[in-house]
Amino acid sequence: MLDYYVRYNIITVVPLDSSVYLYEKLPSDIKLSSKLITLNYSSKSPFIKTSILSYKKDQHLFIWFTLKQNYSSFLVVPEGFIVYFILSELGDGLYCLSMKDGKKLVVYIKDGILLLEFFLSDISQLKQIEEQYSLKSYKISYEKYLELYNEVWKNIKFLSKLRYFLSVDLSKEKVWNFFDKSLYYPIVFIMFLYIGISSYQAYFMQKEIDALSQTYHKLKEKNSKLKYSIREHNQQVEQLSEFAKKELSYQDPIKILVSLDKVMHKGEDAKIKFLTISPMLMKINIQTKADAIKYFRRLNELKYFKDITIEGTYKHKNGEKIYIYSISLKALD
Amino acid sequence: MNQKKILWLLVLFVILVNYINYFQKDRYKLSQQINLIKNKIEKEKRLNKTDIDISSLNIKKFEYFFDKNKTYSQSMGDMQEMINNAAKGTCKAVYVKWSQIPTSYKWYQHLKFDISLRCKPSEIFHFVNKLKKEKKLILFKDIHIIKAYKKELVNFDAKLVGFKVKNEIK
Repeated sequence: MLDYYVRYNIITVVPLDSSVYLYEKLPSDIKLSSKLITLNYSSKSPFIKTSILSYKKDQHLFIWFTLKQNYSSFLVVPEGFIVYFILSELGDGLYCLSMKDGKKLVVYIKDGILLLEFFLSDISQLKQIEEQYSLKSYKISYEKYLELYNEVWKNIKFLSKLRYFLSVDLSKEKVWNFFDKSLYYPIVFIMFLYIGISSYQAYFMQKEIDALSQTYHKLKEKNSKLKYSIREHNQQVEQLSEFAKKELSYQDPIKILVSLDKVMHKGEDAKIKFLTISPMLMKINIQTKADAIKYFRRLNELKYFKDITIEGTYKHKNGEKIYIYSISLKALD
Repeated sequence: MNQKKILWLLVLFVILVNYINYFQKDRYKLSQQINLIKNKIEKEKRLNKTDIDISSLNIKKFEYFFDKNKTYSQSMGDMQEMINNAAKGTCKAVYVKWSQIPTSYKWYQHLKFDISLRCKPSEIFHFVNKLKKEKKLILFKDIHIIKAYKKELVNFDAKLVGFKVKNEIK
């Protein structure tokens, strides 16, 4: 993770041997800008041209003096702070860290405050310090420190604390510099990538459309005769249904005529004197000596008729009666 | 950052904007088009798989209508001939009258006749049966049957309607 931050110039870690630590207790919890800190404490720096990296916790101010440099990254973190964070997680105490080159770093943390952080010039100094603070120092090997150092970059609490070391310089030179080093080539690459991918995709999609269209047209041509026949068939069915609805919605008078066989039985002394069948109405005159109700019932049994009424009765000269039936016909569904 | 780099970036940006505005194809539309054609192909394939006999789709409706290639008068003549033939040997045709105005619908015309026959009641059915054997659709409308003055004969009046497909004469 750290490699990534460093490679892309997001974080610069100032090495321990390039910085000098100073602890200051402030009179009250006051707000101090980086410019104010520089103004107040640059005189205490061992470097003539100095930069100050600071971290403030309540009334405690931790200052790391470095040689003045123009850092181009967003975050400039002193390694001293990282050491302080790692050791403060372990607890208060006097620590002696072995560095890669054999140097010994003494760190003294009391009540979570970093009071001392410096390299020993002589190992005998450690005894003097232990005696001075009446403490026994914890020795931490370089391998252990390296392990803790790599681990701390995954710690969210630590990463959130790095905001105190944000060095956003929006000067024209720095912005251009950042753009040139970090953004120019990625932007150019993304632009080309976008054009390339979209063109590539569109080309193959168009190719697929062409191939599919060809297949579709072949199938369409193959089915054209069948489709035409189906269309014509549907049209014909529609026409015939329309025709049947218009022309064949009435009872067939011939069928009614045939069915009268069930009304006028053979051997009975009865005659049909008059018959008229129009699409909705039928009139029939029956001459008989029998009762009118007998034929009324028989007519009622036929499925073609809706309502039957006896319109009138008159007497024939031979004495027989003629009954006039008026019948409304059922319409076909 | 040198001026050359800015210039290059500017040129590239102009190229990108123009590409997006004028040259870039709408991939969403293309993908929709692909789906549409695929659906169409699927439909055509389904239709292709069905074993529909084209000849079975042809409705022989024209068989029951009078010839579309003849004029109205020619068709009326044919229908009258059918009526006369049916009446021959069964009934006496008192009159056969053409209706004056042919009524026509979208695709067919009415061929209307008013007929008056004199025959025995049973012979009416012989007449009807003979007419039905002609395989043309002829409907009976407004039937009137009155006993004739002479014994055992009836006057049979009816309106007969045939149908002719309305089409151009070849």
